[in-house]
Formats: sequence, C-alpha cells, structure tokens
Amino acid sequence: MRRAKWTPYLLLVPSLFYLALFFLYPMTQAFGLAFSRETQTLSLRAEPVESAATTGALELQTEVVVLDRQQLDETLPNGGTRPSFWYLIQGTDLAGETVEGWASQRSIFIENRRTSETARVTGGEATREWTFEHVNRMLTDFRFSSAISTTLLLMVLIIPAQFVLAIIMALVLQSQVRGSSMFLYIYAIPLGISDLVAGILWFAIFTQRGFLNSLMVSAGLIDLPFIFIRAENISWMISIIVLAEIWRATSIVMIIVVSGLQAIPKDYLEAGEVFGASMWQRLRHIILPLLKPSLQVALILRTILAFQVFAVVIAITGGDILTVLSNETFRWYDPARFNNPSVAAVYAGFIMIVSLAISLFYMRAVRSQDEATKSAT
Amino acid sequence: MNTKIRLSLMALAAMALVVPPALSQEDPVTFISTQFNVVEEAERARAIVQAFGSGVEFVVSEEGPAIDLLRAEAQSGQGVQDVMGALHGTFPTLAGEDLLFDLTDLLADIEASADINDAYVELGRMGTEDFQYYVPWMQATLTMAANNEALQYLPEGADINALTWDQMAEWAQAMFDATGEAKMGLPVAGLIHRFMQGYMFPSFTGGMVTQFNSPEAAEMLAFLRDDLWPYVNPQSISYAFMNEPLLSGEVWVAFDHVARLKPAFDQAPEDFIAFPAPAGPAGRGFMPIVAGLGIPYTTGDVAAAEDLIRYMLSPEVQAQVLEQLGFYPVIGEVDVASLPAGAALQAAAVAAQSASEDGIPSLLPVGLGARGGEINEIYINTFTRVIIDGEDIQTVLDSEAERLQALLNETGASCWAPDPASEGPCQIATGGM
Amino acid sequence: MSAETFSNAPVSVAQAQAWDAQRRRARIQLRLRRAGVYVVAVALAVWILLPIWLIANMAFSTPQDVRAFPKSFFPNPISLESISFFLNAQGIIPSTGNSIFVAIVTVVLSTILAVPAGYAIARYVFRGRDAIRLVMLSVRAFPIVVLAVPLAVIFLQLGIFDQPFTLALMHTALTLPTTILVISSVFASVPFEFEEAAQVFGCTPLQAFFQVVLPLALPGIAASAILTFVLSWNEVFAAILLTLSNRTLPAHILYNLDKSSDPFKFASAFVMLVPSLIFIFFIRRYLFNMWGQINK
Repeated sequence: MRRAKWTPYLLLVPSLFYLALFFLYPMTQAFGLAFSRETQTLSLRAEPVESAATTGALELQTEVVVLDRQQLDETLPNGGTRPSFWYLIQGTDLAGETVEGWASQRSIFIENRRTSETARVTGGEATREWTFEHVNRMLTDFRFSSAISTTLLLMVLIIPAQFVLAIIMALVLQSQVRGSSMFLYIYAIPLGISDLVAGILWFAIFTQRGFLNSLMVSAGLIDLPFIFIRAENISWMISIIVLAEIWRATSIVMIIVVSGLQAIPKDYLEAGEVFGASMWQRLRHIILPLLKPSLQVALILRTILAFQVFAVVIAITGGDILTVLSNETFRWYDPARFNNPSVAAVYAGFIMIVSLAISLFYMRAVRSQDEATKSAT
Repeated sequence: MNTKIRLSLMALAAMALVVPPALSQEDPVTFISTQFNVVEEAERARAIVQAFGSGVEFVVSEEGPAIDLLRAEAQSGQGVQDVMGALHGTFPTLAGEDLLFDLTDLLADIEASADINDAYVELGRMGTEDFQYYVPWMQATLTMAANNEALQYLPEGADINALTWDQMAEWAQAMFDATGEAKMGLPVAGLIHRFMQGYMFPSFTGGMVTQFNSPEAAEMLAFLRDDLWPYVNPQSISYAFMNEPLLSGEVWVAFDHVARLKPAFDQAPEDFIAFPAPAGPAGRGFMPIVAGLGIPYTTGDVAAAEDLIRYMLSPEVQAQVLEQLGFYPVIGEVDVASLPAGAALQAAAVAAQSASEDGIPSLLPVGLGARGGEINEIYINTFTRVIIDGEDIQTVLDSEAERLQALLNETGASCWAPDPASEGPCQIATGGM
Repeated sequence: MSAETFSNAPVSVAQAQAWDAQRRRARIQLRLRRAGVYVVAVALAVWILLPIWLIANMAFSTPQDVRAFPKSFFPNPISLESISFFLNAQGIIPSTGNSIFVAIVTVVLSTILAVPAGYAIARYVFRGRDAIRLVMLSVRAFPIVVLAVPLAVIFLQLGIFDQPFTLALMHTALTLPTTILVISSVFASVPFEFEEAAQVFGCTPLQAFFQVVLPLALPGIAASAILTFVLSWNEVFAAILLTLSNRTLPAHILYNLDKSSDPFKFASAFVMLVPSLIFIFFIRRYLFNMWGQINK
C-alpha cells in the first residue's frame, strides 16, 4: 500500500466523472419528469405572423368564433409554395375575458379552412409546471398494489431459497469431490444467462404442451395436460417464476459465498473437526458466523435485483395478468401503450426508494445485532 | 409469388426504368411506413415498393419516432421523407400540426379509374370538409379462425358465417364437454383491447364509447365472464398471436388480427377455416383497420410522391400486398380469385364480415394524439378487472368510464362511427363523470 | 490421519486391532460422506443442466416436433431447421452485430476507465477510499429502470437516441462499478513487492506498472473483460428502452417474443445462451478471485 496525496484521486476522476454523468444527471432529470407536467396555451397574435405581439391567451379545447382569415402562400424549402392559413379568432380565456387575435392553422381545428365560422383550440406553446398528478396516477392505478405485492412475494420466496442452495453448492465445491472444477463450471453457467433466456427455458417446461405435461401424460399420470399458466390460480405462475429465478440467479450468491469461505482461515475449520463438531455444528457455529459479511453483500445485491425482475415474468406469463414493478414501469413508458415517461419515472423512483430502504434496513439490522451480541458477551 | 404477378411486376419495373417518373439517383423517393415493422414483413414490403423504381427507399419506423422525424423535418425545412404510410390513428397528430399536403386532387384523379371505399375516404379527411390528409392505402380487420376439428361441435342450425355470441359460447362449451379441454382462445396478451372496443361493446351496446357504462355493457361483461370465459383456454392470458396455439392444436377456435392468423392459413390451409366475428343483440360489431398514405409538405418532389401513391393504389400492387402481407385492398378492382388457398379463405371471411347485413363497423375516437395507447389500456383494464380479477361489473365500468371521459376531454377527441358524431370531445351518454 | 502419526509408538495387538476397526469405520464413514456429497453435487448439476438440455433438444428438433405433444426428450430426427430459420430471420444478423458492437465498446470503455481506478483502490491509502468502495457497491446495484427512462428522454432530446454507441455508453455506466471492483482485486493479487523491486532497479512508477504489474494482471483483466462482455450481451431493459430500429439481440428477441413462433423462440433462447456456456468456461477459475475483494 502506498500513500500519496493526489495520484489516487487523479486515477479515480475519470470513472467518478463518468458515473456522475450517467447516474446523477439522469436522476435529476427523472425528478423533473416525475413532478412536472407540460401544459399548452395558445398565444393570440396581433398580426398573422408568429413574431407579432400577443393579444391574449386561450386554453386548449376552447371553442372560438372565426372573425376573419387570411391565406398566405408559404414558400417551401424546395422552392414550391403551399397555401398557409391564419385565422382571426375570438374566445373566452381562463379569467372569463373575451380575447381576440390571430392564430395559425397549427393551433386550431377547423372543419373547412375557407368557410367555417367556428373552430376549436388544439395547440399552443408548452410551459412546465410542478404537479403531483403523476404520483397520483401511479397510486390510483389498480395494478399498482398487485405489482408491489407480487414483487415482494417473489423476493420473499426467492431469496431464502437461493441462499440455502448457494451455501449447499459452496460446501459441495469446498469439499473437493472428484471433478469439482467441472461442478464449479456447471454451477456457474447461469451467471452468464440472461433472465429472458431463463424465462423462455422454464416456459418451455411448464407451458400447456411443455415438457412437464409431456412427461406426466406419457407416464399416464394425467390424461389431459394441466394448465399451469392460468389466472384462476396464480400460485402456479408464481412458482414457475420462483424456480426460474432460483435456477438463474443462485450462481452469483454461490460465487460470493465460496469467496467468503476461502477467506475463512483453515485452522478454524480444522479446530472444529478436531473437537469432533458435527457438520451441522460447524456450519452453525463456525462457517455461517464467519460468512456473515459475504452473505450481507449478497443479500443486499439480490434484494435490489429482485426489484428489477422483468424479462422472466414477461417470458413466462405474458406480463399483464401477473405484473411486477419493473413491468409497470415499462408499460407506462412504452410508446405503444401509455406513452407516459412521467409516470414511468415515478415508478422508477419508487423502485429505487424501496430497494434502498430495504438495504439500509438490512445494514442496520445486522449492525444492531452485532451490538447486541457484543454487549451480551 | 405466382408467375402472372411476377411478370406484371417485372413489366412495371421495366417501365419505371424506361420512363423514370421524375426520379433521379441523387434524391430517391423515400417512403416511411409505420406498418410492416415486423422483420419478415419489412423485407416483403420493401420488395413491393421498390419495384416502383430504382430510386425508391422503403423505411420502417415505429409511430412515435416517425412523427418526431416529420416534425423535425418541418422545423428544419429540409425534408427527406416523401410519402408517409401509417394507420388512421397516426394521422390526427400530423394533421393537427399541419404537416401534410392536401391530396383532394390526387384522390379525384385515382378515383377516376378505381373505386375506393367511401367510408375510408371520409376517414382520410379527419372530420374536415375540404382537406384530404391521406389517401386510403389498405385495410385489415380482426376475424375468427377455427380448426376443422371444431366444426363437428358447432351448435345445430348455426350458420358459421352468421354466428351469434350466444352460439359461440354454446360451441365453446360443446368442445369443452367433448374433449375435456377449453378449446377456444383469445389473445389476452395481444389485441384484447380491439376485441373489447370493436367487437364486444358494439355488438352488445351499439357503440364503442358513448354506451361505455350502460346496462347493456354490464350485460356484455356478465356474458363474457359467466358464459364464455369458463370455456376459454386459461393459458389465453399468455397468448399474443393466435397462430401458434392454433398450429399446435392447443386451441381450435380463435379470434385475432388477420395478419396474425395468416401464418396458420399459410402453413396448413387444409386444416383451418376463417369466419366473421359473431353478432350480439345490437349487431355484428367489427373493427376495420385502415392505413393511409400522406405527403409531408417538406417533400422534395411532390410529383414523384404522388406517382408512388398512384402505384401503391394500383390493382396489381394491392393484390401483392394482400397475398404477401395480409392487408386487404381498399379498391374494388382487385381479383382475389387467383389467391393461394389460405389467403382466399381469409379474404372470404373478411368480405363476409364487412358485407354482413347486421354489421357495425367500429372506429376509435379521432384526436387522441400521443395518448392513443391510453384508450386501449382502459379497455384492457376493464377486461382484466372484471374477467380475471372478478371485480364488480358496474363499479369497474363506472370507474373506467370516468378515466375514459377524462381522456376524451383532455385530448378533445371526437366520436366516430358507430357512436354518434360529436361536437367537441366525445361524451359518454350515461354520464362518465 | 491422526491415527497414522501415532502408529510409530509401540502398541499392543488388541489396541492395534481396535484402531484398525476404528480406522475402517472412519474410512467407511468418510466414503459414505463422500458418496453423499457426490450425490448432492450431481443432483445440483442435473438441476442446472436439465433445462439447458431441454432447450437444446427443442432447438435441434424439427418445427413439427417442437409443436408436437407429448414432446420427445431427445431430438429425433436431429434437425437444423429451427436454428437456421432463426439465424436467417430478418433482423437477427444485424441485431447480433449490434450486440457484439455494443459489448465490445462497453468492454473497451469500461476497462480503460476501470484500470486506473482499480489500481488506485488496490494500491493507495487515501481519505475517502472506503466511501468510494461503498459508492461503487451501491451504484452497481442501482435499478437500471431508474436510469434508463430519463436517459432515453435525454438521448431523444440530444438526437443520439437509437444508436448502438449510445447504448454502449449506458452499458459502460452499468458495468463500470463491477469492473472497477473486479480489477482492483486483480491488482491487489499482484504482490506489491514486485513493483517495489522494479522501482529499486530504476524503473519509474509508470514503467514499473506497464512492465511488471500489467503483464501479471493481464489474465485477470481479460477475465474481467469477458465478464463485462457477458453483462452487456445479456442486458435487455436499457437496450429495449434506448433502441428502436437498432435493437440488440436480446432486445430484438424480447420485442418480437409474442410475435414469434415456438420453434423461433426456443432456437433464440439456445443461441443466446451459447456464448455464456463458452465464456463462463474460460473465466471459471477467476470468478472467486474477482469476487474476493468485494466481500472485504
């Protein structure tokens, strides 16, 4: 280890700057998206040109009377022309005053450009204002609560199972059975498999004409395929997602646990063996306590990632009937669906706050437990 | 592709080479389309469009970016896009921002030699009297399809081309009783919103929007929940495109977009039949899906763009689009007799559906703009809350009606057929607020 | 073992027999335990491999067999039809190209940024070192959703939306914290004495780094690069939000998932998991070293 005043900071600056650019800046943008909205008002002009002075403003959807119109020949970039219309319109503004002025074709709907006597305001200049509207939309959406409960349920079911399985895998690898490097490879394979692929794999097993039904029907256990993916009993769908996630994401926990095991001094374990401690006693009193820091890291990591579970759910259930928080974020963002990045940003912020809160809770719980044991001894 | 079409195509291509319609290599005619952005379709559509001439570019894009692109071009005054092809629902935004040429004269010119469906021409005027924003390009709809195995369970005396929803429910139940499996399928992860908007609501209430929370709508949902859904394959919740469950035999009777059913008819035309959607008490609700062609005013070459539109409206090209892409002609002059077996089955069903005496063509309100997807979510939510989650029907209808009315008021969208035309925002008759 | 250490001492025959029996019992017990562990090890391996086998089975079956019911657990006959249909489908080649491009740019960028940062964390004691490690860990676990939505809006405004390069910038941000921590543990495993020795023999710190430390750290850095590649290759949420016509392979597949046939779907899953089978094989020995440092 070296001591130097400036060198380490200089070496770190590019990375920190990059992370700030891609984490802090989007966060401020997300805040703006989540808490502001765009409203449009039409500014009426004294003359039929955009640069003329304003004579008043009208809200969208105001019905107006057309007093006069002017047809200009707008010159096009390619040299041609096209008829461009301006209308002298009159309507009532928000304050109840009658205002009058010129507006272009772009800002009103008119049935007949040449003859109609009335029109409706359809466009104008955008202004931003602060609002809780998007937060409200998230809170009042009927899928919101089911998205939360499904996400939490998945987390509660998946994480403990992953930890048990990961510890078993780690102990198996640690016991140096023959071919343990091959087993290590096999257990690590899912590390490189995306949640999308994992979802498709498990869908192939559990779909109506999938492998499980093939096996059960061939073996004569059932006559007709059993439909696991159904809305009437969502516990089947939950179970499939849980299996897929345990299958896919246990590897990373296993790696962290093995690294932690390797850091445990051999003497401790040998001492346990010498004193005749059983496998279970060694696990309970030596290995697990020493693994605690590693397990804590893994726990926080998995919890935060559990809030982002996305493609597995889509691939297995189709995404709409059994929904999770990240799926709702995408549904609100998707231009083909709600096309509303603001509500999507609220969802994203909600995911972040909840996952950070749970991580802090873990850290605090672990710390206070430590203090409790310290004060007890 | 059959030889006759290929020959006429080559002839056309040759003509385009000999008499280039104001094309030059430096400035190709660019056709931007929000349709055919599924991979294989884009290639087939490109081949058809490029047969017009060597200097034609066919670009596919999602709706949002395509609108942004035209907007940006209008602002900079420099346009690359010459023809815009999109669904009817995309055009209100372009019309509102005054980005398109008036095509009244071009349309009159085309109609001199072709008979274009009048209802679609009117759609292309976007509620105005004197401005043609687009020329109708092609149409599609959603129909039913059935495996021939299912026909033996059809209720007695039922005419498959004039089914009622009650008969459909009976049929689904008969298949369930006979096989032990629910053999009807709905695309709950797919176009279920179209099923509600264009088929269930109009068939039972006679309207799509204005009767949203009427007693008839409540009856319709009760029918769907109690009489039909118990015999619908539960895994329907994960179905997006119905061709796959039809091909694997997981379901025998399905409802979906003609283009999404097409692969089943292409691969096994001898196994399937197509037929019109059933009718309800108010009539046979169905949803025509219309696409149009418009010319952005920043185009570099109006004459070339107009020529390309004329070409797209010719009977040969309309026939190719039907055969290869599953979209139906908007002109009357197309000969469908020479189609491959599967396409012919589907074409017959589409024709029977739109020509049915009790037919109620249903179109979405016009003017939702960027919030066009939101109205779908309201109908999806209605389906999910009542059928899947089992919430009380009237509670759901009233609360979703409130959201629907708010959406209509905020966007100023007006009603379209079958709802009575509205002055200003469309209003739900039974008081949405 | 302990029995053998004592065997040199003079013992009675009875005692020796007793020890012998005990040893035999211990050996049997050990063998039983070994066998038990082995059974568990194999069962776990089957649990991981079975789904992969089934999807490979589907990928190499004819489309008819893929749709058949009940399905066979072995491809019969073996057919390349599904795989070749998938590979020839429109958009697969370009999106695979995009995925590889994005992953390579991500690897290059994040490695260039992470090497100095990782070295600083491994070699220097400085104020805020622990804080920076904590920041790295928390940033690493940041929800991608939180970033992807506003970034999509920003990129749209800047006119750099829907470009593979922009997605690579995003992926670099997502992978950088991991890469820094992994590379710092790689440097930490290179003994500091080597570097000191080089400097004693007249190298400048920079020369010592490039001529002594870097060559020793290179295999570890390569392993970290492969891990970064896999992370980027698999990432789908940011990819689907930040691209439209220039999709990466997973984004393209997810977007077309509901539109595609079952043979296509299963072939796509198989093709996507092959790189991970290969890459994890190459870096399996480095996995624990890479994570060693993060635990501390």
